[in-house]
Amino acid sequence: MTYFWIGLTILVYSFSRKLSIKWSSPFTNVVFLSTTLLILILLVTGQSYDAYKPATDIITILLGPATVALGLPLYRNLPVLLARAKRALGAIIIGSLSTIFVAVLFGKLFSFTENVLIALSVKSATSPIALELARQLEGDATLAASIAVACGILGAMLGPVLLTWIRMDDPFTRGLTLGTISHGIGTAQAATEHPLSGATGGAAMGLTAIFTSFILPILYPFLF
Amino acid sequence: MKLLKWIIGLTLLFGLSTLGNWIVETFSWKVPGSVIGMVLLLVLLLTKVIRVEWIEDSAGYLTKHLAFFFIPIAVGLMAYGALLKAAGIPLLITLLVSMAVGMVVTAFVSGKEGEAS
Repeated sequence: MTYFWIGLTILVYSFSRKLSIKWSSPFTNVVFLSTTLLILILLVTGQSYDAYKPATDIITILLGPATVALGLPLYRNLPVLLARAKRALGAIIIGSLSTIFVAVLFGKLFSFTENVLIALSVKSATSPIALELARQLEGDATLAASIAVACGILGAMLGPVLLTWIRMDDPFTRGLTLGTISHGIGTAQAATEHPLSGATGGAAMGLTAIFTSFILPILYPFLF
Repeated sequence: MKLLKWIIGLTLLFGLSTLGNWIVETFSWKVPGSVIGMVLLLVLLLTKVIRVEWIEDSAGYLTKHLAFFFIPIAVGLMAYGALLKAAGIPLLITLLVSMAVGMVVTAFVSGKEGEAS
């Protein structure tokens, strides 16, 4: 059955990808569309996530090498990256701080539990880091990883529209922004826009992960 | 020849990913192992230990389809159906507003090409 689910995931992905190339819209975002279709298929056939879980374990083995592969666009675009390094670093630091503050502020306004607040504060770090950080801050680790994924999907769906809306057409900054706020899923979206966007997205994702894990334990007493 | 390149490329990418995971675990760093692997690949390319031609096919293919590898993790969200139903709208508002603010700030600070730095 595991191979069936892997095959189905590939099929659903190819379909979503074709659709997203034909009609570019937040709702044809590949991760969003594929995920929605697969969840619908599981629900309609009366299966729980446990049936699908083995496929997750196999496909995510390749996520490591796929992330490492971002080192190639990084290498090819290194001169551009270094030329704009100062502003890029500033953007990653100020950008990730602002999203943390706004998320925790709104979370407090809606009086979410502390577990949800912690999950919200780590959401812009990539999922494995969000998971690890939440555990360190004594929050709910799987919840944090899930909220990070949701944040990634929303960013990949709406980020490009938002950036176009504020007239940001620079591929360097588009990738950097998607990688900083929406980690890997945002970077995957950025990589489809422009190779330079994929490179800045990958670099931003890594740096945001490092910065978030460094700053959150320090901010923790002031935030909560 | 093409197949050989693919085998070499994938082996290198897998190897670096594994090495990255090992480094992160050994030194208990708070970074994903794959990000360390990415930096290692960059360094090895810069020092010409790894040649671009060895990995460009496989690395190009994997980055082109990077989104695919996140789909199964996202399907995992269905296990949180109950929470999303209970706090869905406020949670969505929080995620959307914090995302929008974060993105506008990041984009504004990073700026466009040719702006003074």
